[in-house]
Amino acid sequence: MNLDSIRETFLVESDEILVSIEKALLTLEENPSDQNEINSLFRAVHTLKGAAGMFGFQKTVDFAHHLETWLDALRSGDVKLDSQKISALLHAHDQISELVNIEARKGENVPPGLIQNGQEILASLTGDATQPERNSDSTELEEDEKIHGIWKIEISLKPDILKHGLDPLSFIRYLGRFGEIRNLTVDHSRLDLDSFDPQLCYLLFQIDFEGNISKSELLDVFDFMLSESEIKIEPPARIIKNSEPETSLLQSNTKATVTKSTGQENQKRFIRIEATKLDMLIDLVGELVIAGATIRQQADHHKLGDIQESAGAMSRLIEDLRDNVMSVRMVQIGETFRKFERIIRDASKELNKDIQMLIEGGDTELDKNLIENISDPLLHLIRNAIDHGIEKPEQRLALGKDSKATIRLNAYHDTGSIVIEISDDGRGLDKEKILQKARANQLISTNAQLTDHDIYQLIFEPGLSTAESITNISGRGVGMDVVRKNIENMRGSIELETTPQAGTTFRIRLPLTLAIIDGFLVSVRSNFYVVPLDMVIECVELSLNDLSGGGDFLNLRGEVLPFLRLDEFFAEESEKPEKQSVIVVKQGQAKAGLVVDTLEGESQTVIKPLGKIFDNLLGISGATILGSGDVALILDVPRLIETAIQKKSASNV
Amino acid sequence: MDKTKVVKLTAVEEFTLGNIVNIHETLSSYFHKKMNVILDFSSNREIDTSGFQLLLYWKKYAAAHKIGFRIVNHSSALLSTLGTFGSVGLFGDKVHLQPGDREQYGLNYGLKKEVFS
Repeated sequence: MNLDSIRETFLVESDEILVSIEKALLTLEENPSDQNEINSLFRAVHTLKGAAGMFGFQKTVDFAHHLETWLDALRSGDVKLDSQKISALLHAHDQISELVNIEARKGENVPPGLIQNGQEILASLTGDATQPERNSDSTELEEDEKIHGIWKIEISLKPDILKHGLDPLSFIRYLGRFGEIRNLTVDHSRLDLDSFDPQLCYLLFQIDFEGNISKSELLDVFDFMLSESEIKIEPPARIIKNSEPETSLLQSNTKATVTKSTGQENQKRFIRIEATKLDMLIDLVGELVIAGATIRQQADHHKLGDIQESAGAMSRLIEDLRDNVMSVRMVQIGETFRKFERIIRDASKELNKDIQMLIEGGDTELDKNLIENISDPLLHLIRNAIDHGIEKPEQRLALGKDSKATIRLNAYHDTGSIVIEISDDGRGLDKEKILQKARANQLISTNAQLTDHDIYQLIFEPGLSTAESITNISGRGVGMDVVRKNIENMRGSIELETTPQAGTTFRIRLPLTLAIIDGFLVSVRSNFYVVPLDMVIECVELSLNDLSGGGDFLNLRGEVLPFLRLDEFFAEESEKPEKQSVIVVKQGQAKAGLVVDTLEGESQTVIKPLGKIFDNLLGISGATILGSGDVALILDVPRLIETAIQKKSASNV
Repeated sequence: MDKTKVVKLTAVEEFTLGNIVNIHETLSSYFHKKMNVILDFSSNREIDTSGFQLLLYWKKYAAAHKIGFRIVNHSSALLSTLGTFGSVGLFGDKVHLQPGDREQYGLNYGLKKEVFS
């Protein structure tokens, strides 16, 4: 087996475990007695330690071992959590993250300073200033070294274990695979004849187990039961120590891994796939879409009835295939949202602010690539909200607000887009400050008359920050322009709403996917354009007379609709046809008409990025290849709607 | 055992958590009437920890109230469970074993007859 790929799996899994540790800690900060979270925290550290041990990442194992010991005491109620301990545990989380980074990712030796840091963290947990560095030859033997002999295992089951779908019988049978159960005694003393509920569990088991196994492997056998039971393991007297070569260790560890994954598969049938393989699959499906369109067009062109029918069936299958493949790449945004919890916690502590984070729509799915790219802009907006938006508790109280501020992250689908909202209940944007700063930076002239909307849009201009002090959190005057640029690079847009003393909401609108979309094909003279189908509301056929009235707007069933002539917009010089059509498109609340020559119909569109030289091309967001081999340009509808609305406003003036 | 107050019941195929409340209620109705119960496990296919615990409970109850409770025609599933939990001796019922059954059901411990305390 390729060790590099196993190491890669370890890195991915350790990242996930670290996220779950952080999440558990943040939940415990709110509710320190949540036993489920304490158990899941213990399990997470235990699992990470076991996996790190498999690769010999000794310093990670050492630190995790001490942490696990402390968490075990926490589980048993011997120690209690308070805010200082939570902070220490969060530092412990960071320490593990750094150790994994150095030992596993970089393959370097851990610097003494980091080990010292770990000792200090452990000391702050245990209250022992002389916490010794773990001797890898002593304690570890008890945890990870195989010992042959009779192990004494005592299992005390929690009452609800059966209700939670766990059957201890199957775990005990599974234990038998690793050696031999020499004796098992059922302790039924808790089985009270007067108060018995057959769905609750009252049993304790004492097992004498003979095998050549380590304590951690035994714990792994009962891994999924750990939160539902108390398990005590007493190792055999160490008469025969296992001295088999390393290969045997790998085999046994592989076995343990198989155990775990089998258990996990029972819970959720997931497999891990390299992202590049998925990307390649999407590319191939994209090519298949184009090839399918070519066949269909050829069949239509040559009027081959049978082939037309087959091509139609194939198109439908390709469409299903496309939808399925695309859905594989969709990931829930909740995980990304939750990453910000820690940032909000730490930043609010640093700035002495009391902030809670609320997540809504965490199960909204978004293309994996978009999720990766949206993280930084979101982080920036959240940091801005913490730093500039939210007042200190005493200021909030003086304003009659709750001293605890709220940052709300929300995600939902809206007309073919994903909308992500970042709202705070802080002071809102300061219009006067923005204007002053913009004038000082000569972004606007001193006598420019701007609407509120225009003023707020200035924050997206380079170099504009209204922060009076620079903190570690934000306020260096770079950012919002980069945020907007990053979002626009994803074919998205950002808008904001702000109310003085009530708060600010940033609304990011992103396309559902970056790869393949349902498009509506239109033509203007000899050029083809694609409009994302989700944004199309209706098509209206109009004669030249209908469109030749004053202004760039028309009366659509009593509604004033601004429109944009694509031939003029893209500087087509040849003669206009007698009849043209208007496609009514919408994004969010904004609507506009796009005047085109011919409506060609729906078309699956594989988005091909345009080269860098087209970066500043207004109104075009990408290109696609049609079945005929022609290139069609994909219209940047939000930008075109904006242009149409601006033209209408200008003509009003 | 008073033979005039004996009821022979047949254990269901799945003596498991999903049915455990119903099974418990059925057994309760006879035990609470001080009926001696013979439970035939020949039709049983599956028994889990909850099923085992229920049998253990009624064994304990029967012993405490001096009521007869016998399990007969042990199914493979029951034998295997009793074998794993080392409870053949604790339950105290006669078990008819074929050659090789001891090995198959792991009947290696807990075979010595015990008395409920």
